[in-house]
Amino acid sequence: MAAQRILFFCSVVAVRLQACTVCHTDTGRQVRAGIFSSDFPLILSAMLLPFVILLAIIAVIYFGAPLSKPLRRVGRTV
Amino acid sequence: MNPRPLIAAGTLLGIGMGGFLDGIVFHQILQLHNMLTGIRPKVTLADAEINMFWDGLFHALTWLMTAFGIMTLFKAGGRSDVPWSGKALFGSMLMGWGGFNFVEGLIDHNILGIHHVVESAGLSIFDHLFLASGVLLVLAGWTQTRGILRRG
Repeated sequence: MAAQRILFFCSVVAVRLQACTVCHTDTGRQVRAGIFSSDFPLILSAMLLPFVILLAIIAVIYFGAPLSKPLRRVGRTV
Repeated sequence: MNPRPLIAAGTLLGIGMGGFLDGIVFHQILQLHNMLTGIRPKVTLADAEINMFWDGLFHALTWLMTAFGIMTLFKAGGRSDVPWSGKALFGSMLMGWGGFNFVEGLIDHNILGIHHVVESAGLSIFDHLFLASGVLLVLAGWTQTRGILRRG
């Protein structure tokens, strides 16, 4: 029974270490190499691109489009 | 009156929540795709973890969008010149969600191909439906929001 518990504990710990991205295991090293490869800037740019475009749209909504007329403001007394 | 801050806040919240919905439902619960499965399929544990890393960055960005949305909404709430309309907020959230689906789908699925809605099918009808859902959500949001824009 004790041996089974030790085996269970070791297997759980081993899986946890293997699945850890920043750990010094073979898998961890493979993961880091895969993430920070020469493609990293390209993939990062690809992932950021939709958000940059969406933020630009938000800026247009908030500040108005460049060279456009401002929104008609009503409900104010002069 | 100036509805722009309210609409911007709602749109930001819609982008953030739309992104979370995509990440939670498609990436995590259904696991139909992950961020890079179009160029790095999940064959090994390392591949799955690399995809998980990029999924995490994606979720971090959607979290930032949501946080900006809450901040913008809070600031808008303190301004007397910003109309306070739940309908316009809901509509702009739909527009944000639709905008996210359309822009993210067009760039990541259709143009770059870094992932697809159903990765096993590649670029498929599901990607086109995702784009269509974006357009429909923007239109649905617009119908809710246009009233406040007309009033100014």
